[in-house]
Amino acid sequence: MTRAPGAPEGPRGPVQVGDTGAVSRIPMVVLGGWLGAGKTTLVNRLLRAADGERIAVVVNDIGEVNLDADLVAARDGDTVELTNGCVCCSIGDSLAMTLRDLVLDDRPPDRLVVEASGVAEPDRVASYGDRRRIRPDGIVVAVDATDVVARAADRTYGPLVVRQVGAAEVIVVTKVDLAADGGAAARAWCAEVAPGTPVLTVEPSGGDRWVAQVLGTPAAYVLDTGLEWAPEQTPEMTDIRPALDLPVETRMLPLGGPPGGPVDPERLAAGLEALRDRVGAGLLRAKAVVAGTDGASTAVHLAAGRVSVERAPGRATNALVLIAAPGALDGIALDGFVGEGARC
Amino acid sequence: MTITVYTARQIRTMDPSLPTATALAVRGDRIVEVGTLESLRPWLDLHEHEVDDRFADSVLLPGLIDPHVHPSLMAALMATEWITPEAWDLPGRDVPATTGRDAYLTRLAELEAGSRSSGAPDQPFITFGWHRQFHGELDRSDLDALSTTRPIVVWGRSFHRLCLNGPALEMVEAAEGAAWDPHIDLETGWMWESGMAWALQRLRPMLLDGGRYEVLMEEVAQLVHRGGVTTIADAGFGGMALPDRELEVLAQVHEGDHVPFRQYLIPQVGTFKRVYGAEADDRIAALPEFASERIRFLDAGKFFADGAFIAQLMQLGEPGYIDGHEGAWMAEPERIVNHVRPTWNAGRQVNIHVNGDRGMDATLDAIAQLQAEAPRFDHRTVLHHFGVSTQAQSRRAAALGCAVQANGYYLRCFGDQYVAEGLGTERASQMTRVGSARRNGMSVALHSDLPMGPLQPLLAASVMATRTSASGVVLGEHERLSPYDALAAVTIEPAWQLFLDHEIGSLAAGKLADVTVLDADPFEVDPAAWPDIGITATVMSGRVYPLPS
Repeated sequence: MTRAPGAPEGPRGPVQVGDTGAVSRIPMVVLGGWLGAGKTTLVNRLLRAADGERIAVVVNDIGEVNLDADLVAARDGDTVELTNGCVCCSIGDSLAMTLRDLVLDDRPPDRLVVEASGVAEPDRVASYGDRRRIRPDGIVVAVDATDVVARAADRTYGPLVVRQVGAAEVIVVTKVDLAADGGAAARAWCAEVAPGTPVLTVEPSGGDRWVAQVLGTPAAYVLDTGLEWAPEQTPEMTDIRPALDLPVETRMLPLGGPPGGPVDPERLAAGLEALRDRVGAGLLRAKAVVAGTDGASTAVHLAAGRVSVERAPGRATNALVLIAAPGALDGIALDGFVGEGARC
Repeated sequence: MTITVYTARQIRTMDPSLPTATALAVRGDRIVEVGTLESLRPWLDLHEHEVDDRFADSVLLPGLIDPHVHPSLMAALMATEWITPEAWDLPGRDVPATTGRDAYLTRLAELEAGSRSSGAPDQPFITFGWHRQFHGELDRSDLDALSTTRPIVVWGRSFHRLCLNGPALEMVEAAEGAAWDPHIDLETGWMWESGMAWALQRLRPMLLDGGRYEVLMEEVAQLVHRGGVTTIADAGFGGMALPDRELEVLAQVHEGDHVPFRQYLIPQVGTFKRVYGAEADDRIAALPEFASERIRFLDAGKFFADGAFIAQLMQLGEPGYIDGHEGAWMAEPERIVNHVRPTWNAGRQVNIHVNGDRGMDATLDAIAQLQAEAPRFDHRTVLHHFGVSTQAQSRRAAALGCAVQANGYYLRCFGDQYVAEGLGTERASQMTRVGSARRNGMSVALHSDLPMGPLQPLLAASVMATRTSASGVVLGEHERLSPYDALAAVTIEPAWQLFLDHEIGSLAAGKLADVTVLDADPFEVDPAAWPDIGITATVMSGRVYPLPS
């Protein structure tokens, strides 16, 4: 990702942030972090945890992703198709071409996850991909609980480690079971260099659900399987929570009458943008799947500060879930921005 | 079979047991004895023979070896017009040295207009050789000024960048590419790194299709012959035109009695993996089935550590580049050992492209780890290019059993610029520190890495024996090779590094009769003048190939 000396800065093509055209853009998560921080482990567990979603994972070296033989449906060059519909492929000559091939395929994936090289700056990796077809869905940076503090103090490598963590929208602390302090020093260090960025901790005993929580749009799990109309009836939530050390609060707002009633996604998107401008960086994530006026399910996302609207395959719940830093939503009349006010 | 005895003014055998001789007896493709007409008598008394005195006034060296060249990449580049910082002598054209922005743009306009009038005004105009440190800044507007209808492409000397005018950007669908790839700048016309891969995917057919590849490979063969070279190794087989296609053209153009050299192919493992996926290892293992008289395969793999020396993308350790920019990895430190392990464990030879001292640390760490896991003697792991390294690394590399194969040309072409930019005087003077490597007991060979440097082993040896830059300044006199070591570095040392020293690299009984015929004795000429020594013929496997005078 390093520029040749004298090479000009890359342009950003026709990027349409917050594009609200109802074209289905594929969300793309970039997974970064220093060498050996546990990125490939996350990828492995993600591929196993994919729950019906067709995830395409782009990795540096497919040889390092240990895929169980029973999970592999077919191999073709540097691409492995899994029995669960997921695809894993190498970056090859060019990430741009790899992404393009995946997205323009007859059967494009539901989600893209790009594993950045351990010495890459993940925000540079995130700048790949046609924004008309790919929706940036956040930068996740893995941090090694046993190593990051020492590594960050390294005169040679430290600055890059700090830049990587600074680019994160979610930080995942790995190997806490191997760290004498249970990862406390790593978490404190993260809070210092990336104040306000959510820090999750990977508990080895926490099961694989957290992988999706981290790599997928959190709302995809929290909302679609967790927060239905009656969240207390969904045992998954209690599964998730102990595995997360997430300093966030989650709010759920009903958006209309019964599930399936019409909600105008454009108005909801506008309301979310206004709310984002009011709350600022403390509003981490939002998602709603609503039934639009034409009856089709439409998802409205807020991820990495960007609001987008796209078609959604699933059932509309007409609920909005907001994930925010603790206290960030205090004293804000949410209904004035979203919720009932967004009803048609 | 008749023995042919070649007499010579002097024979430099590069065999320390018998350094000089005046007669060389050859039967078929083998040497039967090196010595004098007198010493050869037991052979000549018993066998039919003839004395061939055509080299009687000449000096014979073992056939020169260039152990790292890229014939197919060179062929692709020769499909373009050259405007380079240094002079090149290419078949059918002399490329003068061009330096300075004005001179560059003038030459560009001349060549573009020339190609227009010579009958291909609609064909894209592609030129190779622009280098920012020699030619100044360049962007799309300079090229649009030449033409707004004809595609014009400038391919940088460092190979990592392309600059295109408007029509060329359209031709390679750069606007589409720019949406996907941040390394494409439509405004300045530059496409670099992965952005360049986007363009090359569309340019490659223009360079090598329609019979051009074959014609250009014939010209590459001429370059090999002119350099006095009888053995080359392609250290990246399969990387340019895909393995099957490269093999097909090699068999067609570089095989046959008229071809004055043999070549050894080292497969580019990454390319095989990309093309053949899980079958890559089987494909590589099956390559020897395709071997012929002149096209052969080495039981070896080629790997990469850090970025290019010419683009200043090598990975430097402390204190880094003067301007603070960072190098690049071609394979990150964590991956090198994983890439290399299967080749190491299979007992095959490991060749690693490594340029900067941080790249060297990563490489030596990997070899040390593999030595700990599965110790090997006589593995001859070769460190290719060897741009910037430290004394400590030199000793460690020696202890690990590695060999050095340095680019003999870096210092000549880039020494002055790297003193001024990037490295500074101390480190630039010690680039390719071959003197230390010899003192530490390592084998040192030199290569051109054609087209990174010209395929002229006597020039590479001269540069490493004198360490003079393009401006004539001596850079790192204590890192010079002795004249003997410099000539060994283009004969017996590369032979050893290719596991071929029992066959080639020196003149001795039983070895292949490979000879380079010179009109002066390099041991009697100042090494600075070695590039001026005339090469009048080569002998490969006992067959004489005179050079056109």
